[in-house]
Amino acid sequence: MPRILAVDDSGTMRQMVSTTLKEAGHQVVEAADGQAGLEAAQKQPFDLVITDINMPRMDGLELIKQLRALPGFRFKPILCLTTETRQDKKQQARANGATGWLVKPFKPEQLLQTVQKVLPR
Amino acid sequence: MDVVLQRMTNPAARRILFAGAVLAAALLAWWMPASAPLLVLLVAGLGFWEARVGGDAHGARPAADTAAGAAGDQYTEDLRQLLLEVQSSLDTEFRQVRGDLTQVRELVNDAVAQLGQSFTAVNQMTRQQTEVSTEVVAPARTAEGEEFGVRVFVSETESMLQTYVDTVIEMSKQSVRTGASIDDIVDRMAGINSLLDDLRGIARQTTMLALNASIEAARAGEQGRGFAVVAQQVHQLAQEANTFNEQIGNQVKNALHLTEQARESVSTMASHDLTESLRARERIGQRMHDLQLLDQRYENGVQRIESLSQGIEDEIGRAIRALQFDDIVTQLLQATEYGVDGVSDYIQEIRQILGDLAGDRDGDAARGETLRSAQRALQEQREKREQQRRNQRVVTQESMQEGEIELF
Repeated sequence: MPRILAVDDSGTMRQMVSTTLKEAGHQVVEAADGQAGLEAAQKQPFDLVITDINMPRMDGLELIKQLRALPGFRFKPILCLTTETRQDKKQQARANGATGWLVKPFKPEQLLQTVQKVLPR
Repeated sequence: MDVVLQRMTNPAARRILFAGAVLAAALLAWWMPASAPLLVLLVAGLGFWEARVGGDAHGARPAADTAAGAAGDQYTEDLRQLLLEVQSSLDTEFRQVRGDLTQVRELVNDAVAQLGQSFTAVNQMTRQQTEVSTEVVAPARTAEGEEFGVRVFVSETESMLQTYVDTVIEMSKQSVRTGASIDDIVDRMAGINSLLDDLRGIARQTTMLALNASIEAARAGEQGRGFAVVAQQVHQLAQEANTFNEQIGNQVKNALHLTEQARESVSTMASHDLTESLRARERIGQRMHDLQLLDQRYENGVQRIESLSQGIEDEIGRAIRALQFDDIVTQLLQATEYGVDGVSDYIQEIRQILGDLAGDRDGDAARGETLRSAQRALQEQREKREQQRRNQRVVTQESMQEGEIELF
């Protein structure tokens, strides 16, 4: 069962992402910001990280950078799920090592399709 | 009123008042666009008043200079108090607006969280409902692991029933053949009776022969004594044969009676069982058909439930997408709160500038410098805010349609 880390400062978004992924049989761990997400990633392995960009304490861009520095996350897929539509932020996420960019709101089946595409087979 | 008019003849005070009015009007127009025309009229009126009073003041300068000098300080203080009052009112409004925004954000967050939990629970229960429905009509497994359900039951029962009926039909045919054999046996037994009658005739003739022999032996006297013994034994033998014939006849009669009974039983069984079996087969076949229809109805019902469940899942998916407005609206509200804070800071800065202007007593040249300095400060503040705005998150969503997806 794939383990997925969902990082978002919005409780609603975490719940929506978690519900969608759990219904599809994934195991989901939630984190309320980049710092909490990084700490969770340091304690346990994940097959995929889905992160918001604009968050308190540590934003998604910094989280991606920090995760890529961890040996276990060098090649793991990291998806950004954000309200952000600015190109410069997207390019920065890509430069930091993000795998994909999803703009909110997401459609559950499309999120699942994207997750299936990026999860290691 | 005279004192007020005297104060208004002070050119510096009039300019400060006019500048303050212009700035306050600009702020209010920005904050409440609907009031812009009224504010334009107000500012225009103040400008007209300033020009008129200024003109009057120039005409009466020699007399007014003394009065203006005396009332200047008091007027400046009054003006400061007026500006403080304006600021205080705006601060109150901003606090109220900010509080309302925060309240709206918290209410939206709370409501959406509850809605999210509710939809999640509905989704799970719908899924479980579908699973239960499917389990109800799904074929069970026997202890040996074979599939067992209504369809299998009907199929196997029909097969067993067909085997049973075939067996009964075969038995019936066999019974008919047995009846025919029994008829043959009866015919043969009738033949035995005929033979026994012949034997009885032979025995009678033998008895007659023995009697004649005895008579002839008696007539022969001493020489016929041995022959008389033989005749006696022949007579005795004929009597025994006759007795034996009678016994065989009785046995054959009994056997014939029993055979008749057997033939009737076989005949009755053959005709009776075949009819009943065919009727039973027809009735059971009809029940099996009814059972199949019932099973089909259950299956159709479950398919309908599955279809409805899929529809509910789709709708919940749409609800999940729509509920994400919470995150988007929260960010917009935070941006609005940030904007309210910015306007509040801006007013604070203006109040400081106006205070400086009001307190400046070094003449028009110094006030000009104060104004230019204030303009630079406001410009710096605006640029700083613009920079902060650029760094702020940008929410461009205008509907709840799903956003774009890009894989790098």
